Order: sequence, then C-alpha cells, then structure tokens
Amino acid sequence: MKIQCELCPKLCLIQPGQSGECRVRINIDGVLRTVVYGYPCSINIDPVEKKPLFHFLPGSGILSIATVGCNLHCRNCQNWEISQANPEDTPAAFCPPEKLVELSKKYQCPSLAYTYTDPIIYYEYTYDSAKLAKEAGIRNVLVTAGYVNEQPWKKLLEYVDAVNIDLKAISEDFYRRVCSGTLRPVQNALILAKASGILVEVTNLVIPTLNDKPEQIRQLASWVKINLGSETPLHFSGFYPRYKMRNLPPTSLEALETARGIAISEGLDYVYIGNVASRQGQNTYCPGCKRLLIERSGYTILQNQLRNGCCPDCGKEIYGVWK
Amino acid sequence: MTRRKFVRKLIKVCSVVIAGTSALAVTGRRLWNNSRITKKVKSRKCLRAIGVRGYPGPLKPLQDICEQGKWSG
Repeated sequence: MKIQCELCPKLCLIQPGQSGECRVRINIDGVLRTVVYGYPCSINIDPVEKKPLFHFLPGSGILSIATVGCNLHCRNCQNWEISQANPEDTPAAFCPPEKLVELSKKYQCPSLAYTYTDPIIYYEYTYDSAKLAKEAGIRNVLVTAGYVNEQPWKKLLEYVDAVNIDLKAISEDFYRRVCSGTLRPVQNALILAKASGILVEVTNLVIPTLNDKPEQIRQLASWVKINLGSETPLHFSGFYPRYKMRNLPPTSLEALETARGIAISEGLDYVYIGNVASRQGQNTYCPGCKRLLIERSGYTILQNQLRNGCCPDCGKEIYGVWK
Repeated sequence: MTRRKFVRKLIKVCSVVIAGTSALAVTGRRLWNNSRITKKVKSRKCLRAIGVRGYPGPLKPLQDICEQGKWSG
C-alpha cells in the first residue's frame, strides 16, 4: 500500500519498501518510518556565528547536529556529501534526544542547532529533541531551507527560539531549476516563523549569473523588508563551486558588497556578508546612530558594545536574543 | 395498436433503458475510482513517522564533538 508523506510540499507517494525524495522517510509495510531518528551523521560544537546567526547569543557555542538526507536537491549544495547521500552509505552515531540534552549541558552550550542538512527531513528527531531541550532550559535553533508544510512547521515552532532560513531567490523558476522545489512554501515558512515571535535571520547564497543581478537582489531585499520587517538580519553568503555546479566561479567580494549595498538602500537595518572575509560586512551597526555595536572577525567577536540589547549611544533597541 | 403508437412506445422504452444504463455506468465508475484511490493512497492523518530499530548504515562512535563542524551551516 502506498503512503503519502505530508511533511513537506513534495507530498511524496511512497511505495512499500521505498523512501521519499528525502531518502530517510520510508514506507515499511504500509507504515511511514524514519530511519534516522537518533542517528546524527554529524555532531559538533560550532560558534553560533557559523550558522549564521548574528543576533542570537553572540560568541556562544552551539551544539550542532544533522542526519543524512534532504528534501531539496540544490545543484549548488555546499554539503551534498551528506545531504544527497543514502543512510545505508553514511556512518552515523547513536545519539537519542536525551543524550543531546546531556551533551549540551556537559559542554555548557546554551543552545542546540539542527543544521547542516535540513532539520525538516529528520522532523521527529528534531521535534522530540527540541521539546526535551526546551524543558531543560536549552534553546533551539533551526537552520533550514524552510521547505515544509504549514501544519508540521507551526507545531515545531512552538519549541524553537531562532531560525535561519535560506531564501535562495525570489523566483519560482530558480527554485524549480536549481533546487527541485518551489518558492511559495519557503515564503510561507518565513512569514509564519516571524509571526510566531521567534528570532528570524535570512540567508541568501549569491551565485554568479544565477541570482546576483541587482534587480534580483533588490527584489529579495524588498520582499524581506515588506514581509518580515526591516529589522530582519539578511546574510549574503558567498558561493563556492560544488556538487553539480562546478562550472561557475566563486562569488567575488565585490558582488557581495554590491548586494549588501542594495539591501541597505532598500531599507534593511542589518545586512551581512558571509563565506568571504569582509570587515564591514560582518559587523553590526546601530540603525539609528550608525555606531559600531558588534565587531566580528570570522566567527570571533572582537567587541560587543550592546547594553541590555540596546545601543549605548542612542539607546535604540537592537533586534535579537542577547541573553 | 397502430404502427405509429408502437414506434412511439418503443422509442420511450429505449430512452428509459439508455438513460438508466448511463446513470448506472457513471455512478459505478465514480465508486470504482474512489475505492481505487483509497486502496492506492492511505492519507495520513498524523504526520509523525515512527522510528526504526537500528540504523541501516554503518555506525560510528561519537567523535570529539568540540571540534568545529566541517559542514556549512
């Protein structure tokens, strides 16, 4: 008997013995099963700035996990070795939700990140771990493409404190051709996350010739401002030739700086540059008086001038979770 | 019964038979399709997938987790 998985907009009809597009949700004797529950293929403590989250507990370490698999198949995927792999071929460690909470406490990580691949495909593991972590006073962060249906997304957001959602382009055609997905569910996930009151940051991977035209950047920044608010941090991330897109050059620093300039001119308060060394593009400035608030170098915080989440000069409240 | 009356009666009877058969065919097809859909696709009321015992791939011990992850994100 076929089963329909209703977790993501792909709505896979799964034949007995087969998996959905994510490779990890399987129909076994007419029952939908997840083969990666409690089995992360990657588990590390990262700086929170690596996610990237620049407005969430700056300078803190975050226990970061991922299982194998993904519901999108982006031709430019930077982590394709684990996102486009089969669980049968990928080593994983046994680490149930209780163990994750225990490790977070042991290594004094104030938060847990479900990242690297996409936490949506290991939904049940993410959900149970997030619930348990929240009960233990540990915060939860999702780093995701936001390709998820409304009902499970809302349910998961109850236990989440911050998200970084990858908005790849404001183009259905881009999502279809490059990612084998669609744009609308991602926009919906972003709007729902923001409406739920949690911290939302957005990442856009700037790929030369595909989504780096000034008009495309302007459209994206404008969408973020109108739908998520000007206070929403936007990260322009540099592309490196990977997976099925090795024919394009890496994104230049100039292209990222141009993108940043456009987004600022569109009215966004916090626009950052990632994956490429950039001094100004990594710092947080007060949108009121333009004072330097947080100075970063790579993932290191050089100075943090915030006082109770506010600018020490003009007193403007800075969007974020600071303690 | 005149020939004309007989032909009218015949047409009436034929029309009723054709209309009845068509209605039955349409309803039957609809029911058949519905039963096929419910047989083919079991719509999930609950989204939760159940975990399996064991991992289908190779297992590894927890490595040094303090090391920064090599993956993006």
